[in-house]
Amino acid sequence: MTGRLVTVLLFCIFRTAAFQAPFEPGVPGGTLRVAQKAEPKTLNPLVAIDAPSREVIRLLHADLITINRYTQRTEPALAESWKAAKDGRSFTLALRKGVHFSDGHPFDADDVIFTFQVYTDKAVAAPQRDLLMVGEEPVRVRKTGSHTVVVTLSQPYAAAERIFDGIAILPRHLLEADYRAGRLAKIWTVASTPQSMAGLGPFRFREHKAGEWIRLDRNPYYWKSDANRRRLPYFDEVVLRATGTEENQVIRFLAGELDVLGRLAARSYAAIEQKALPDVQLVDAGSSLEYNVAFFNLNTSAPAHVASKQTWFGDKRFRQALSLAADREGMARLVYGGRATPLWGHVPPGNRIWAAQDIAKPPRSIPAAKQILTQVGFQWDSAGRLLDRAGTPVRFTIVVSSSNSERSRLATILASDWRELGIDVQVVPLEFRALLDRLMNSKDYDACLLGFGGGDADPNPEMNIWLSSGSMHFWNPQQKSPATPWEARLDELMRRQMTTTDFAARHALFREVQQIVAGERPVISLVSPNVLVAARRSVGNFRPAILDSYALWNAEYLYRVTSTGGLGQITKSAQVPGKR
Amino acid sequence: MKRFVARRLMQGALTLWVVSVVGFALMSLVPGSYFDEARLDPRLSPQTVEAMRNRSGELRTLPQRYGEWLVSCFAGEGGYSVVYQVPVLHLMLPRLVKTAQLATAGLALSWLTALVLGAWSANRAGKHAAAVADWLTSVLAAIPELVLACGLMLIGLYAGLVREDNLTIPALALGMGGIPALLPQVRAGLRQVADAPYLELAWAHGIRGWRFTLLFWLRAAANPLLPLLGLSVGTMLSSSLVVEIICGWPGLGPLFLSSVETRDSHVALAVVLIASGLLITANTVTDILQAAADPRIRESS
Repeated sequence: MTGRLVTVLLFCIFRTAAFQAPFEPGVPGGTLRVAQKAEPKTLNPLVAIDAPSREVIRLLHADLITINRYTQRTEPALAESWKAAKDGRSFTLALRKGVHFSDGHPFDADDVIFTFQVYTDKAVAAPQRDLLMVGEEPVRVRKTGSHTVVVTLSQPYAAAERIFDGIAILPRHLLEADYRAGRLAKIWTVASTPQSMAGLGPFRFREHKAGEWIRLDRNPYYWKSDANRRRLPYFDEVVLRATGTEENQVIRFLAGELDVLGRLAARSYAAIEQKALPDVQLVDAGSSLEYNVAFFNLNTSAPAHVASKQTWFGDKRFRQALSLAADREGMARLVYGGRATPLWGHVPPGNRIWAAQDIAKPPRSIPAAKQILTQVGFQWDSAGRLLDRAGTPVRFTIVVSSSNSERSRLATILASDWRELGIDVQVVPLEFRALLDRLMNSKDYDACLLGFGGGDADPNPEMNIWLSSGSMHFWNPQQKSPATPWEARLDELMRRQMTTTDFAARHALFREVQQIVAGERPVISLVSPNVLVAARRSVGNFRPAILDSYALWNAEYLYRVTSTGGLGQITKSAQVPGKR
Repeated sequence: MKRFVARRLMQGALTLWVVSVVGFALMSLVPGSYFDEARLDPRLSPQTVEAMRNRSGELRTLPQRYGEWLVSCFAGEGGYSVVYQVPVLHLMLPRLVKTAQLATAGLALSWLTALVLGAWSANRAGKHAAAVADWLTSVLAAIPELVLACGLMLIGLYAGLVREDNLTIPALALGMGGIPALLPQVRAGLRQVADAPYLELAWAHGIRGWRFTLLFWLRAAANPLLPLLGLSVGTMLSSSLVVEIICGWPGLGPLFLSSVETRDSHVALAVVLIASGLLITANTVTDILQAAADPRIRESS
């Protein structure tokens, strides 16, 4: 009975997206067994750049202000409250009192000062450093009391409180000596001892078996407690098992060796769904923040054989015609089994706060695409091949990462869509890093299919993509001055939204960005894959979100449901719906 | 004999050194770096990524990096992993144990099968056995290792054998994959000596059954089979890399694959060196065994 109640409750929660019901009180004890595709490379937040490491680090550490993965809005963590100054340039943070690190050492403002000093230090080269740079200046943190700090920015910065998310607060008492000695890059490896580590997260590192698993145990000093004032987390242990491939993950999940599968490919999701196991809950959390796009090489420094094609690529109507020919619905259906969202604008609907609702969604139409091409001066020969004004057949290749099978299949569909226009398109799958080398160094490619996004819902982290001077402005990166008027406008809008503190004004600015991108089509947005996760029904409070770490963001609240009597009866139709 | 061993050791060391130079050069020719992953994250600036690369020593010249690697090898670290920030030896040892377990099981399985079936089918009485052996060889030779491993995983899944730390499926995949290369050779080797006068003599002495097969027949056929053993140890390691990846066995295979993908050159190089080292050692040991088993080889060296 309670099971059914829970399902109905969950159903309601997922329906009313932005509202989050409180977590139910859980039962302490047990081991949570989680699958990871690859093993974590390091436990050091100052060097980790891979997803599995970041996932583990999130369980070991805590931040000052966190982004609730569910509501996509900020909420207090180690900072109990914060107050912005009128000029929008400084924040006063009141830290939680009586908090201890996982080794029992008390936490205070000095740890925060130390943490920010380390992250913003150029010599440390931490991946978080750029997030803490506002207007080319690092944020400055000053102590005004044992548990109050003032954060100062060099210029007003929109959504400033979001930059604290994921900034793991480090234990000064353990790391100061290493910092002074310049050894921080070499600490907290997978080979380190648990005694050398401490954090403020719900779990602490205990043991690592190379290539197999990593075992965390409950942090007895964790500062969060549930509604009944019981100290969290509920689970005694978390074991993260590296399975190597996704297939192995699914096999071991089906064999009952795992409780949670972090993020699944649509194919694996369908395979588990087909088994219709009564003790498994499958959740389609809806559109992720990732967006798959195709774009053309517009680099001025492209090699000659590409440059000859840039007269086509550089014409916005050519790009618009090709966008019209792309079968987005077909891609979502064929590649993702329907568990993806077709995209016309570049911001996926999963980004509930920022996705513009008024982006035109013209249905796929080959005649309409051909009409545009005719207007621009393209024509067709007797064999149906598309010729440009000079009579040259239109022919190019799309490069795509071979390690991402879903993306390779997207490219295949896109190529066949474009072949219907009489274009000779070939797909060239390249090893991931070889592909990046072509994109960023040699600029030797015609068109590329790539996935972006996944970090935060806010536009600020994507500055590097949309600014014409950005290194990830892939179609023509690191421009000295904007090459086109619309890129100049994008620069202006993106810069302004970054410093505008009024939300409505900011929203309007970013909506214009989305409209320009949809109109000029520097990238042809295709689909956004849904976030798919699976877990045993016996995992309580399981509420996956579309932000990382999808299934484990509320790890401290997860618990083992001991009586499975009522839960086994849940029918498939009652499963949490993904589509909103 | 001592000179023979010393010469082989020298040759082996030289080969390893050449492999390390070639391997190092090849790895540095591959485009991309581990830190490219960070270059696709819009939250990181190119300057920070460059600083990370600089910190890792990746931006130094090739001879400098090779020198650093050599120093690290002589310091007993076996290189330094850019990805894990730990000495390579620390990554290799636990996985090497796992791979050794699997390779030993696979080797034992394939050789036992090949020897039993080979002896049985080489025997004049074993007509049916010959048919079975032929059939098994063709079928196993026709199935690529990849498909074999996947198929066995599927069977194992239904049989409930796919459990963590369960050696059955990967060992079966590896062992079965090794049989087609061994069985015909074992059989041919045994057939070749079947009519030898010393075997007839043994037979005439009334020696029969397993004593005959094991102590006389196999021993007589050992000479052509011993180099095969050396070779199969080497190939077993390279096939085990594939099997490990498919079956999720936490040995050197998955580490090697990911080290190539992430451009963790020291780790990839270490796996290559271990594989070559093993092959060299196995060949040297078989040469010595051969010399011990056959007086003619002993005399000539």
